[in-house]
Amino acid sequence: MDMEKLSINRRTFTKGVAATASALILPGYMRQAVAASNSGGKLTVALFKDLRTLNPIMGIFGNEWRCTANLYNNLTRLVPGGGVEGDLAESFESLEGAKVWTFKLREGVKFHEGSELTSADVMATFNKSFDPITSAPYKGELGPIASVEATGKYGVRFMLSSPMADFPKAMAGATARIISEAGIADFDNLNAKAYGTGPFRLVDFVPNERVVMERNPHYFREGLPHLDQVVMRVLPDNTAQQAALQNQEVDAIAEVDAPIFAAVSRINGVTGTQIPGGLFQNVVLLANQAPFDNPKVREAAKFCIERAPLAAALTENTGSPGDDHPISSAYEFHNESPALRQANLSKARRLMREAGYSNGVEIDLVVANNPSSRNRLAVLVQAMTAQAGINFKIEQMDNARYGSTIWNKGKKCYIGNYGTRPYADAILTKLYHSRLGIDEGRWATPDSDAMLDRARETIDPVERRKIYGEFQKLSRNNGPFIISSFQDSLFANWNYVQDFPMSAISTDMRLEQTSLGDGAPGK
Amino acid sequence: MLAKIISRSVTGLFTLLMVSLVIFVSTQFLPGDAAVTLLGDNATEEALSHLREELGLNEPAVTQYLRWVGGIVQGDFGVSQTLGLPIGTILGDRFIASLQLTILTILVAAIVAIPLGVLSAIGQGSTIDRTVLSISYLGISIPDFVFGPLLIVAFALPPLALLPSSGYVPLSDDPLAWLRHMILPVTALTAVLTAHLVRQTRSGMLEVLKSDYVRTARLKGLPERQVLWRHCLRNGLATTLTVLALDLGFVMGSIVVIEEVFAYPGIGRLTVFAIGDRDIPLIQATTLVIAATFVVANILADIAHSMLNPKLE
Repeated sequence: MDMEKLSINRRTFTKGVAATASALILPGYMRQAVAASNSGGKLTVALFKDLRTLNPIMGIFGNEWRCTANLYNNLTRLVPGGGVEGDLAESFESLEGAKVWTFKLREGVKFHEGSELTSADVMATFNKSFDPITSAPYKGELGPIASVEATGKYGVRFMLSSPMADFPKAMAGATARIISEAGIADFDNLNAKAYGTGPFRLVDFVPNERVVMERNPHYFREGLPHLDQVVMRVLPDNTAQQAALQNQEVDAIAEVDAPIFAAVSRINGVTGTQIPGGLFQNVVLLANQAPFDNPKVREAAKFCIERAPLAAALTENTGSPGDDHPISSAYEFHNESPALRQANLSKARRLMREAGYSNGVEIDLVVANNPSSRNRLAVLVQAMTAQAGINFKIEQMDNARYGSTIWNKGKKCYIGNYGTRPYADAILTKLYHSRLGIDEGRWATPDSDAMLDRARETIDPVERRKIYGEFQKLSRNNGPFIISSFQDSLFANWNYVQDFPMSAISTDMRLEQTSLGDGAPGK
Repeated sequence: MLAKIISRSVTGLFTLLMVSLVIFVSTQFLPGDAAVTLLGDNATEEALSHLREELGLNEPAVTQYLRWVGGIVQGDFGVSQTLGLPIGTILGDRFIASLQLTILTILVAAIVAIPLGVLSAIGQGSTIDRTVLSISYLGISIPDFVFGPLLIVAFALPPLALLPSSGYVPLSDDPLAWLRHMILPVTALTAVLTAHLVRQTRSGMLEVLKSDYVRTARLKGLPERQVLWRHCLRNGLATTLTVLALDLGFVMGSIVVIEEVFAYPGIGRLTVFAIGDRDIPLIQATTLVIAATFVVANILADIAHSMLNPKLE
C-alpha cells in the first residue's frame, strides 16, 4: 500500500472532518457574523460531467441535482448526522402510523418569478411527477404517494399507499424540489428555466457547459445567501479540472475523481476532503438464470473476492471494502456484523463442485463504458472468480445502449452503478423490492419483500435497526450482488472558500451558507 | 469562373444530400431505443409510446428522412431529445466557437508550415531540411489527446501558469481573454497539422523545383529569388491549398478530442455528448454541419486553386 498517499488522505480527511465539525459546532450567530464579513463575490465550482437539464423532475445526474439544490427548495432538507428538518415546510407530522403525512408551509415565501408559495404549488409539483405521461425517472424514490391534497392555503397532506417512516427524508430528495404552478404550466421549458424559491436565481444555462446563478435578494432565509454569484462549470477532463483548480479558475471541485484526489489535495492552499460515502458498483448475478439461480454459485463468486485490495485498487485508496449489500457506513442503519467476508478459494471451489459445476462455467458480463471504474471492476472480478471456475466473458458497450438493452432487463449479468441515497430504505427498496423497487437481481421473495415493508413502516429506530441488520445479513449471504467496495465522497476547495457543503450525499450541494474569505480572487 | 462556382456548388449540394442520407441511415441502425434513453429505465410503456409518437419514431423511415431534410432546408434542425431545446439555438454558438478554433488553427498552421516546407525543399538534404523533417515526424507521432494535456501541464500549471487551462470567452466580450483561451487548444491542433502540412508543402515544392519550366527559367538566367517567388511558390501553393482544405476535415475531427480536453464549448464536444446520450437529432445535425463545413472548404479550395492556376480552367 502507498503509505505516502495514505498519510495525505488521512491528514486531509482529518482536516475535512475538523472543518465540518467546527461548522456544525460553531453557534449559528457566530457563523452568521463570520460570513457577513465575507459576503459577496463569485464562486466557481467545477463539475465533472453530465449537466443536461435543470428540470428537477426529469434530472437524473448528480450535477443536475447540485444545480437545482440552489435554484429550488424542498419541503424538507437533510441535516448532518442523518436527520431531517423543515425547508419550505415549517413543520410536519405523521398520522395513522406514518401512512398520512401533513406539512405546514412557511408563509410569505416567494418564487423567483414573484408568486407566493402555496399548497397549490406543492400539489402541482407532485401531481406532475406522478403523471404517467411525465414518466419521472425517480418518482419511485419519492415514496408510495397515493394522493396529495391541500388542507388550506399553507397546508398539504400526503396519503401513502403504505406507511413510511422515512417519508420526510424522501421529501428532501433531489427530485422532490418544489416548482411553482407557473413552472409546471411551462414544463416543456423547465430544462433551461428555473421556477424555484432557492437562494440563487438562474442567469444563464448552457447544457453540459455551465450554469450561472445570481443571489436571490428575496430569499426567505434572512441574510442568505452570502455569495453574489455562483458559476458551475463542466470540466470533463481530470487534467483540466486539476489545472483549473490550481490556477484558481475554479474555487472548488464538487466531486473529485479518485485518481486526482491525492494530487489536488497536495496543492498548497487547497483542502481535499474525504467523507465516507455509499457510492458503489454492483456485479449483478441474476438469480433467475443458471448458474446464479443456484445460491451456492452466488456464494462461491463472493468467496473469490479479495475485498480490501480490490477496494483500494478501484477507489485509489479513497473508499472502503463492501460486503455484498449496499448499506455502507455512511448510512444510519449500517450493520457492523458479521465481519467482512474474506476470500476463501477452497471453499469457493467446493461450493462450485456441490452446485454441479466442477468443470467451471462461462457467463457473459456486460459493462457500460462510463464511469470507467466499471471496466476496472469487471477485469478484477473476472480474474478473481476465474480461480474457482466462474469465467466471466466481458462485453463492453456504450451507456446509451447498455441503458436501453441491458440494465434491469433481467437477461444478462452486468455491472450497475449507484449513488449514495439519503436513507437505507431508498436504496434497499429500489434494488431488492419486487413491487416497490426494481428487484434488480430477480431475487426477491415474499419474505424479503415483507422484511423491507416491515422496516419501512417501523417508526421505532431500535426496531428498524434490527430489521435492517437482518436484511443486510440476508442480502450479504444469499443476495444477487457482489458489492466489493464503496467510494468515498471527495471534495476539494481553496481554503478561502468557507462552509463549502460536504456530506456523504455529495449531490446535496446547497451553497446558501458558503462564502468567500480573504484572498479569494472572485471577490 | 462563375460557371465553375455554380458547377462546384451544385456538386457540393449533391454531396451533402448523399451525406445526409448516409447519416440518416446510419443513425437508424444504432442499437437501443431512443425513447428509453430519453425517459430512463423506469419509464412506463404508456409514456414510452406517447414519446415515440411525439418524436415521430413510429413513422416509416422515408417519412422521417423527408421531414428531417425538409426541416433543414427551412433552417429547422429539430429538437434535441436529451436537452429538450431547439438544435438551432444549441448549435449556433458552438459552431461559431469551433469555426474560430478551426480557422485560427488553419491560419497558424499555414503561416508556420508553408515557409518551413519551402525552406526545407530549397535546402533539400541540408541541416535545416533534416531538422524540419525530424520535428514534423515528432509532431505526427504524438496524438493530440496526449499533446493537449502536456500543454496544460507545461503552460497552465505552476511554475509558468501563463495561460488558462480550459474554457472560452467570446471575442466580443474580451478580445485579450479570448486570445488567451485560444492559444493552448490552437497549439495542440496546430502541432499535428503543421507537421503534415510541412511535409506536403515540401513535396509539392520539390516537384515544382524539378519541373521543366523552372529549369527553363533558371537557364534563361532569371535570379533565383524571382524563380522561386514567381514560378515555384505560385504553383507549389496551389497544391498546398488543396491539402489545407482536405486538412480542414482532419481539424474538424481533431476538435472532438481537443474540445473535450480543454472544455471548449464547440461542436466537437457537442458531438461527443450527442453520441454518448444517443441524441439522434443532435448527432444528425452536428455530423451534417461538420460535413457541410468540409464540403464548403473544398469548394473554396477548388476555386482558389483555379484562380492560382488558370490552366486548370
